[in-house]
Order: sequence, then C-alpha cells, then structure tokens
Amino acid sequence: MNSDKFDRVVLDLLYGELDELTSAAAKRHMEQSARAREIYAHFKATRQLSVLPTHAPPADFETTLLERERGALAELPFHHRIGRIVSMLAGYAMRPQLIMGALLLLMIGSSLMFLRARPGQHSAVQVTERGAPEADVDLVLPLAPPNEPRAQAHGVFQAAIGSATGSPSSSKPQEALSKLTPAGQPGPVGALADADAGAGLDPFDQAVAVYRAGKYGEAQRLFERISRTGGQRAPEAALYSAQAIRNASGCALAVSRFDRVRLRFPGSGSAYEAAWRAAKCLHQLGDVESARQNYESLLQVASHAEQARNALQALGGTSIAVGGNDSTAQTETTADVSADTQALHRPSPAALEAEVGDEREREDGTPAERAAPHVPEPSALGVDASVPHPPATE
Amino acid sequence: MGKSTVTPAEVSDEALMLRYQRGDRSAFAMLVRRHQVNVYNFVLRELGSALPADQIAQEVFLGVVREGARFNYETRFATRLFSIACRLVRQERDCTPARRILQGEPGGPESGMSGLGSAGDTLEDSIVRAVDDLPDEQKDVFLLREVADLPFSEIATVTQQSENAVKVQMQHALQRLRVALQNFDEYRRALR
Repeated sequence: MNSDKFDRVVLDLLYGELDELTSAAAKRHMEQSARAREIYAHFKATRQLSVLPTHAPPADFETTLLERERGALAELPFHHRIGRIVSMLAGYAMRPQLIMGALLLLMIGSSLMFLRARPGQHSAVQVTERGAPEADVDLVLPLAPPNEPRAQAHGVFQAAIGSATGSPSSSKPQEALSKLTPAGQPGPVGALADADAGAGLDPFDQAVAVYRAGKYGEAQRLFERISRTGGQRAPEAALYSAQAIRNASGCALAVSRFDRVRLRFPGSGSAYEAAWRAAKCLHQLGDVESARQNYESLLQVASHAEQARNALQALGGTSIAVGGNDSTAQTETTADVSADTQALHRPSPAALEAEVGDEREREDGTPAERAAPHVPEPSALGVDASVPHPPATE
Repeated sequence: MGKSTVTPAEVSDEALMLRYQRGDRSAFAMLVRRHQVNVYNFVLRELGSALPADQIAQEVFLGVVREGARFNYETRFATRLFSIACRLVRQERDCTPARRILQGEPGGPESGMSGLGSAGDTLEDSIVRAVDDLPDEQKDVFLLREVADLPFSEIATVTQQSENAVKVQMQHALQRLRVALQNFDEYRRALR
C-alpha cells in the first residue's frame, strides 16, 4: 500500500469499515510510514473528542407525533389509501394459515366432486325387498279342515273373503280367521297351539300346522314333499308351498312358484288361486301388465271373477293415477327396475313349461295330460269336485 | 440519553415497517421510539435551534407515513428515514437561512455560546460550535456519520453523492474540527 491509497482508506480504517485484508495492509503501511501514522493519529484524536452532546426530544414528542400520524393517514390521497389496503390484504393473504386453509378447502371440494353420484344412469335408488311384510303374512288364511265337505268349506271361505275384502273395517286377518273356523273346532290360534301335538295328523295337516306356526321354510319343504308325491291334495300343497315361499322370501321368488302351480294343475281351484296370488305379487312388484293379464284370465273363473274385476278396476285407476302424475319418467324407471328385478328371479315361460312337464311326467304324467291346455276352461269354473279347497284370498 | 440500540432479539426496522403497512400502528410507535433521539439530534444539530427541530423531526416521521405505501425495501429503513430528514432540513435551511445565527439565543440547546475558541470555552462548547460552523455539505456528512451512525455508502445514498466524495467531505470536516480542538489539552493527550 502506498500513501495515496492510504489516504483513500484512512477514514474507513478509522470507522472500522475496512475489510481485514486491507485493514492489515493499512496497519503495515502505518508501521513503515511516519506520515501515515501522524494522519491517522490526528483523525483518531479528533474523532475521540468530537462527541456531540445528545439531547432528548420533548416529552410529548411521541404522543404528538402519533396523533399527527393518525391525521396524516386520514389525509392520504386515495391511491395511497388503496395501496395501503392492498398491502394489508396481501399481508393477510400471504399468511401460511390462510394458505393451508385454502388448500384444505380445495382438497375437500375436489374429493366431493370425485365422490358425488354419477347422474343420469340410475338416479333412482334400487331396493330389493326380500321376505313379505308382516301384515301380508298375517293375511294368509288357512285351509278349511279336510274332513269338512268341500263345498261347505268353500262357501265359508268365500263368505270370509267377501267380509274381509268387502268392508275395510273388517279387513283384519284375525276376523277372517275366526269366520273361517267352524264352531266347536279350534281356530287358527288353537291350531298353532296344537302344532306341536300334531303327531297323529296326516302329513298335510302337519304341514298346515307348521305353516300356521309361521315356520314357512319347514312348511314349504313339507308341502313340496306332499306335492311331489301326488295325490288328491297335491295341488293344494303346491299352492301352500308357493305361499310359504312368498311369506318367507317375498313376491319376487314366489311368482314363479305360483305360475308353476297354475301349469301343473290347470283348471283346479288351486291353479286359479295361484293365478290370483301371482297377479297380486306381480302388482306389488310393479309388473302391471303381467298382473293385468293374470287378472283378466280370472275374469272367467266364477270364484275369482268378482275379485279380478275389482282388482282390474283398481289397477286401471292406478294406471290412470300414475299416468297423470308429473313424475311419469320416475314411475317408468321404477317399473323398469322392478321388471328387471323380477326377471332375475322369474324363469322364462318356456323353461317353466319344461320344468312343469318334467315334474308332471315324474308324478303320473301322461301325454294327454301334458297336452292339457293351461288356460282355464269355462266349464271348469266354479266348484270342481276334483279341486281341493283353495286357500282363501287375502 | 444515547442512541437507540437494536438488539438482535428485536424485530428489524424493515419488519416493523412491513407490519405498519399492514395496518399495525403499534409497529410505527416502536419505530418512533427506536429512532426519535437520532432524528431529533440530527435535525437539532443541522438547524441549531430546538424550536423547529421538534416540528421538523415529527415531519420526518410523518414523511415515512406518507411514503409508507411506496416504501422501498432495497434500502434500510434508517437510510430512508434520514433521506427524508436531509430533504426537510435543506428545505428549512433554504427557507430560513438566518436561523443559523440564532444558535446562541436564549432557550437554544447551547445558549451562551458565541465566537470560536473563546477564552473559557469548554471542549464541548468548542466542538458544538465547530460542528455548527462546518459548511452544510461537510456538516451533513459529519452528522450522518456521527449522529445517525450511517456508513459512508449509505451517506452517499442519502446525500446523493459518490462514496469518495462523501469521504473527502468527511476528511475536510475532521480537519476543521481538529483546528478547533488542537488547543485543548485533551486533544494533545489523545494524540499520545
């Protein structure tokens, strides 16, 4: 370092603003140069003594200043105030808590967007019902005692049906049951009590007792066995078996069984009753057209004509009501869903025909019987001596 | 009363100014408490009278309020503060050039001082008078260095000169002060 450079850095050396390397070089130069030492000594002594006295500001300096500051803020130009507000908002917006909250809301929103239901295809909720409503189960009426004359029992059943279905006030199943029970004989409740003591009864009566006890699964197996063995009560047992399935598993599974009864025992009272019950099940499942066909097939059956007519009237009213509803599309969707559900459980007519034909052939089937028409004949309407007592309608 | 000191644990001036821009007026109060002594003494030494120094020092802080939205964080808050102070002091000097001769008036900070190197003057009086007699450019640089405690680079920013020019002004100021102090025994002892 020479004298010129020392003169340029001497003030930095005096106030400590020189880097270490230059500072060391300047100090080495002072060791070698008396002039440099003298300059630095005078500056250093002058600085040491040039300490100005410090005066405190007036006591109200800060208070007055803060008051004037409030007034100055109010007098700021509009664009300055806007800038201040923007700065304040930006300060809040840049806080990490706010950013994390925004991210959380974004995540929740995107999750909801991905999880929401896909519209259009299945807007209606599809519900598959299994089993039968408790009220419907109670409505199943027992058979008349087998030792009674069939015509008498049939009349009792028809009277019970008329009283049970004709007046809404007497539609309770217990009343119908009491009307169905001859005087002096145990009623359904008594029969339930006697179910365990039915060891001396014939298989059909035992199955009826089990059925009345509400053990539909076991009753269905017993009735099915009776139906397969054939005999006079086979149609009735088949009908009971189908009804037991209906009570236990619902209409979706029972419709095909009712149809099977119709096909296996055409022209019998059990077949007509099965057609009636199948129609009701179809109606409940929403297959109005199939229910209508079943009801129409019963119009020519004397024992069911009146009920079928009433049902068709009710069905027409329902159809009109449905057609007049604003939510036609929804009803159609529901019907489609029900039809789909039914199609899952109901075999095709051809398959059913073949299955019934095989069963009939196994029992006693002759080609002539297999060729018997399934549509009930008008001459077979009403009371048929070969037809056992049908189960009472609901 | 000495210069306000900022410990490392305290919040920086720039952070306080940012808080003030976001509406925290307590941050401004903290800035005032931190710099009011330096600003007041700088203005007082520049103008030589306590009467306008109070008002001018308050105006310096109010200048910060008015320029708050445009505060430039590329420079230190103190540099910006004393830039405003220098501007206001120059305006006041230009408006009232005769005020400087009133430095010894009754009620002034160093009343009773008159004449350079008078007999019976204390060292402190001589220093005050010598500083007051410095040319304005030299006095600006000297006060910014000794009162405001700004480095030469920032003084260059405040005075809008080059750093070398600032150092030259400072050397001249120190040489003038040396002339005023060299008759005192304290100066001779400091040389040893």
